[in-house]
Amino acid sequence: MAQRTLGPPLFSGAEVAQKILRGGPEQDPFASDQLAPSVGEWRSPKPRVRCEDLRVRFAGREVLKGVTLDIGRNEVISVIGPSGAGKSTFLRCLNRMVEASEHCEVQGRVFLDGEDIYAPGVDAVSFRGRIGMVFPKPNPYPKSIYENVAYGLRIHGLVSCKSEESSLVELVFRQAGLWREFSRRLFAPALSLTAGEQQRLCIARALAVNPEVILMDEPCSSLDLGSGAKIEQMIDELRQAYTIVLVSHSLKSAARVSQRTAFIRQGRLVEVGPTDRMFTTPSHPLTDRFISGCSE
Amino acid sequence: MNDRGEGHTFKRFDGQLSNLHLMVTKMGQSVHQQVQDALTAFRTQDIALAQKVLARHSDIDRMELAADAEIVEVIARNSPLASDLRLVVAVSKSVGDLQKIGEEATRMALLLEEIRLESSTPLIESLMDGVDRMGVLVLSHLDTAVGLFDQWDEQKALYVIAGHQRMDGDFQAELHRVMTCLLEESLDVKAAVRLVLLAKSLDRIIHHALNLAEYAMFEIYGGFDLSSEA
Ligand SMILES: Nc1ncnc2c1ncn2[C@@H]1O[C@H](COP(=O)(O)OP(=O)(O)OP(=O)(O)O)[C@@H](O)[C@H]1O
Ligand SMILES: [Mg+2]
Repeated sequence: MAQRTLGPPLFSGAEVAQKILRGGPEQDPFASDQLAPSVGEWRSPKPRVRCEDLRVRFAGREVLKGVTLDIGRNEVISVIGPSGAGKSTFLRCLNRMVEASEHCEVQGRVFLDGEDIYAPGVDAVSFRGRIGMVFPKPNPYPKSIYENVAYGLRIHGLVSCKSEESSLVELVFRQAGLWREFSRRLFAPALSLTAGEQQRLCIARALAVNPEVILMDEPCSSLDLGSGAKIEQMIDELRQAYTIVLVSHSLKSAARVSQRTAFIRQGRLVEVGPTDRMFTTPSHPLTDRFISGCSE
Repeated sequence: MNDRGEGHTFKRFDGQLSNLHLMVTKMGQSVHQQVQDALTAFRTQDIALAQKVLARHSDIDRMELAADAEIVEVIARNSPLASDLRLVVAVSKSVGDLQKIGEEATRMALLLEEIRLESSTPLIESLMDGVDRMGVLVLSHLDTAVGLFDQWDEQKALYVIAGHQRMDGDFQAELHRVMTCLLEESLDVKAAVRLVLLAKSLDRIIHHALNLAEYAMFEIYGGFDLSSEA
């Protein structure tokens, strides 16, 4: 008969978790806002994006309270957390879009391939081409399908003539796995597409300028299950070439497409780790409470 | 721990989850009773008690089916994750082991029905004492293991997990004694086989108890290092 030996507990917080999961301590550890420092592997040896002590204040109110996290190459990292936790704010820090908000103060540093994008003198717009963004609601330009992709190519000066443009547009659609679907109606208005198609077009548009990182804020939230599944499949394929940061309200979706998961709560990164471990054996009791309490 | 979930949906299935624990505890108690009665029946040559054990076999099977149905429902309705997921997996696996312990009790009872001890000699008495000692150890391990689903206690879990080593020694010693008696021809083969089979059943039960403790451990910590599996 198999003889098993007990290995070391998988996480250092075992005792804490044990007390909490099986009742025991008198005081409720969730009652206090005091969080232990985040747990998990937030460092990556060769990060594409590195955030250091990222803090954001809106009109004096701190909504991001020091997030330190590396995002590796060719990985999909999902960011989960309750509503208002600061997920979208975190995402918008990564391309400096957050600064467009009024009364907003950003502290800390974000490195893209080792370059500090918040360093003085760095133009906020200059690296936008290197970081694409997809929003919760599809927002194609009210132009043709073709134009949605070609426009970015043109304004970033990536094409010099019409024929080059059309072949690049084709390439982008092929890369996004949308060529077969869209090739015959390239000049149809983008707004005539279904919501799912529009969202995939928006992803193609984000790919057009050849970014290194793609930020996606709940890209499936306004879509039906089938269209959501197509987006998820697309995300999985894009991982080969891009770094993807995915904010997701659907834990199922995060579990399906991401390799790492970061849990943000009340502006703090509570825990980050491999997705399969986060969804089966999270280390931090708050993560456990969120993930188990949140299961759909 | 009243206000669980802070996500989109509040946790409505806490009751269902603690019910799963309760099912393991109840099934564990029934199975424990079966083993205890089977041992007593053997010891006292009480055919009526052995028949009771056999009659209750279907109850254990029914409990397993009911637990399975409940588990499937919890998964289908709530897709549990994190510690909830581990709970469901642990319960599901435990129920399987408990059912197998129930089968061992039945096997032990059948052993008595099929072949009765003709005469009790001092030798058989002393061999029975050995089996009894194993029985006491097994029952206490089983009891402790099942209790882990009611209240977690790491020390107790580790005690049960280490139990098979204690038991392996006992089983080997018992086997050795029976063999010696057989070689000296002071024990008839039927009685010897019965005793060995009985001891083997107890040996298997303690391994199931070990599994139960491991499942409880899995539920709490999320895993075992299986790399050292022999
Ligand atoms: N432009 C802004 N001005 C002032 N407060 C803001 C602004 N943007 C966000 N906030 C506040 O910051 C906090 C975090 O918001 P954020 O949108 O990052 O949360 P979230 O985690 O994305 O939530 P959700 O899951 O609902 O999208 C919230 O309390 C929000 O009200
Ligand atoms: Mg948001």
